[in-house]
Amino acid sequence: MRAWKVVVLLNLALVVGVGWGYVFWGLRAARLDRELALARAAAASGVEREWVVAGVVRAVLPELDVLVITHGEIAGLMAPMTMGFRAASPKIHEGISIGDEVRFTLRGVPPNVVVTAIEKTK
Amino acid sequence: MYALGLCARWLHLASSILLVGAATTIALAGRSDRPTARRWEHRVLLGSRGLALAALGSGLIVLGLQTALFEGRGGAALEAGSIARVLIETQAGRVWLVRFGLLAILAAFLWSRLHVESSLDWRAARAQAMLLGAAALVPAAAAGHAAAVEPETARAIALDGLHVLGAGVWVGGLLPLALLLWTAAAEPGADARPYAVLAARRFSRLALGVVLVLVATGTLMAIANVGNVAGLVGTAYGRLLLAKLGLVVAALALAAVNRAVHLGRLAGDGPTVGRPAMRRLATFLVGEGLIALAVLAIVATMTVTPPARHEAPTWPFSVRLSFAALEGAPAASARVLIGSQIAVLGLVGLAAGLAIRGRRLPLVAGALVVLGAGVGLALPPLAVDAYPTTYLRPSVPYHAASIASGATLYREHCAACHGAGGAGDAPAGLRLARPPADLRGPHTALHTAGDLFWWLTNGIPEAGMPAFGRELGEEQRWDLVNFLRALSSGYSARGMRPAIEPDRPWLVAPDFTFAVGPTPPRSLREYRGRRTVLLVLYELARARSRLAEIAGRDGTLALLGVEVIAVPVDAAPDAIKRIGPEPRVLFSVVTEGAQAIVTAYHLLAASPHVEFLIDRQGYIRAVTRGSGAAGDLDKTIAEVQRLNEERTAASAPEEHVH
Amino acid sequence: MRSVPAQRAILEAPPTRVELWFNERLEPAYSRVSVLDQASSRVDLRDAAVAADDARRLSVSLPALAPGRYTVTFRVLSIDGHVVESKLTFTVKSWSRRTP
Repeated sequence: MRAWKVVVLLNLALVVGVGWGYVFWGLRAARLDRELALARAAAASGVEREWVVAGVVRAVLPELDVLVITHGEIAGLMAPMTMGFRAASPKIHEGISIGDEVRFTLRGVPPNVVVTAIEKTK
Repeated sequence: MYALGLCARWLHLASSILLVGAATTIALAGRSDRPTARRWEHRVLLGSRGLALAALGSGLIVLGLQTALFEGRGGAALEAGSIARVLIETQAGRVWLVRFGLLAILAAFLWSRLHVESSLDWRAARAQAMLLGAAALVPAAAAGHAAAVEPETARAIALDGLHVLGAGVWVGGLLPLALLLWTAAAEPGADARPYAVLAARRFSRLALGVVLVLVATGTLMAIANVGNVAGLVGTAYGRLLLAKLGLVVAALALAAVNRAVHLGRLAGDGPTVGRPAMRRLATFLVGEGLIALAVLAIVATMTVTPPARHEAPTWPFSVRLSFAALEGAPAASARVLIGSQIAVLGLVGLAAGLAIRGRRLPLVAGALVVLGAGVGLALPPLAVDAYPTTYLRPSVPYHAASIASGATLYREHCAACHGAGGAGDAPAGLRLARPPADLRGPHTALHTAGDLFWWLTNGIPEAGMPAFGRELGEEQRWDLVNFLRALSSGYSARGMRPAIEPDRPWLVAPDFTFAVGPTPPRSLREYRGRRTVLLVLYELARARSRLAEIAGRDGTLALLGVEVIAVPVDAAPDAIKRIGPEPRVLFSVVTEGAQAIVTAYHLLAASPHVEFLIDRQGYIRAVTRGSGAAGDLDKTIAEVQRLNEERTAASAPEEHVH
Repeated sequence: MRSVPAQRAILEAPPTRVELWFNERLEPAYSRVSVLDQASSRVDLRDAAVAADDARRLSVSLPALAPGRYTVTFRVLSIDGHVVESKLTFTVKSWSRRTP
């Protein structure tokens, strides 16, 4: 075979090989990534879940049944922040006052969660 | 093992580079029907086959050793599973795979018996060898130090790729060209002399351009990987680079002789004319090539040495040059100015001497004398004492906890002589041979953290300062250095006002860690690049009205990107409870970590109630000292808005620490 | 390198995770970190991972730690092929007063 034909064939094979590799693996990996993200999002929503969280009480609003709590990260729900949470019943915030360090239970279908239990840790 | 690794790396690098050079030199010389030229081409081709095998073999050894290093056990070098993991899961492995594949194709291509009688076939085959060689060499840049340069990683990899490609063309071309000249200069090879001379001329022209590219890319990469003079002279990587530069200068000197002297003597048609010159040029090229191979050995060592920018430099000289030495010394400043002018004059003379043809020697000599005089006049006033640790970066971050620990150590070990406030006014100090310096003074700018560390470690014998190297651990000495930095920053920050100075960040906010109740600790640094921080050091009894004022504008502040962090100066763990329901404070009130924050930030501004406005880059931009009474929060909000409008984002404070 | 908790940190509240920031991007497959207690037994949740959004950050989660001194050991591979191996310590002070 003529050398120039060999060269052309070789380069063609290289280009096709790389292109095929991208189409097969690269696109497949991208699709899998998307599916994984969707599956994760689906798993995180629509189901009732429960968390036990540590925090410190910043305000009690009995008229609204709301407790404002500074808390750490709540896995899969929210980053550390100061946030108002609705109490499941008025009983829950009885005896709780500002500055109390607490451990509380959140329950619900995100993003609608309520405090179902709370106890002082200090 | 280390030596084997270096040898394998060197062999791999050298053969990969020579492969590119051999292919380019053949392409550069062009196709010829003269028997000697054909014979030379065939020999270079045979050599290339050997080089391809060497590159493949040494590549396998490099991969095995790399696997052993990554896995942390020698046995892994021979395990298929471990090697596969490296190949698939690391960037170095993937790059290796690509390069090895291309090298294997190149080897097969070189070993195949192609007929290249026609001009088209010849060109296609030679171009393909060049292309494959370059494609197998350049990706190495993506597995080297360039890949870790940030920001602009892609630029660094491109520069590095260009650099190795240039090295391939220049370094790799020297030996094949020498072989051509040598063969053509021999008695039976005379038919190829014009061909060889033409090739040498073409190579010389190309090499000049390539060397310029090498110098430019090399300089840019050195800046990225080494950074400063201390890194160059004070680290293993920097010294290797200096050795490399020394050899490169030697090779360039040979190249300059070749260009200026030998190349011109190649001309002539007579049967003997030019032959000795060809042989001499060939000898010089071989010398240049051997130096280049030594350079590659240094480069191979550099690839396994951590780059200087991440290493602690050891300063080898007893002085350094600093413009800070001129502060408050007008006579010295004038001397430096005059000296530098004279030096510039000398440089101009030197340039003129090199440009003008007649009377070159006296002109250059005179210019050198003037230059030397200028430098001799300008440099001495800039000299400042330096120590091995001068450019050492603190191994303990500039953090409130470190400053607070330094403050305690200072009281125990230093205050007796230096005075409680650092003024150097304690009775024991005044009795010393040389009274202690005022540690608050701005002259501390003259000394690096590493200088202070050296004095703490080894003392200043002539002044009567004791050494603390045995008594205090390394971290404790760095704590003291951090404390001194905060102390002198506080002195410089006396003039800080509640209003910011637009676009002039200079006062670095010490980092701190804090927690609100049982939540996980957070640090100031986490807000960098995201939020402006209003740090409020308050005394509850007096500051209720101010806290209420800030709490009342919580929403506005949050919208402007401000995070309020309030720190009780008494560091009460029940600070939130103490504030109680009125005012309704929802911003962060520090219940843990307050002590260190108060100690550190009171060094920067001591006042019963003080507020620091810390910008997104981590600089303190405004300080409000007050009593804690409600003031005018609108003013603070206006300052935040001015900060938000600032366009030039200063780079974050240097904190390159390990 | 920088970490939270910082080297030698004395913490009142136990951290929920250890985060390490490096100067160079890391190879996730060869970057390990573990947290050991005083008896040198491993206490972290064995979920050490390089952050997806910042390849210079390596972190591992922790259970509720009892008071005591902890050692964080790590061995990482940077993108340019250097292995860094080191350790740091932190102390948890008084978690006991918080347990109900």
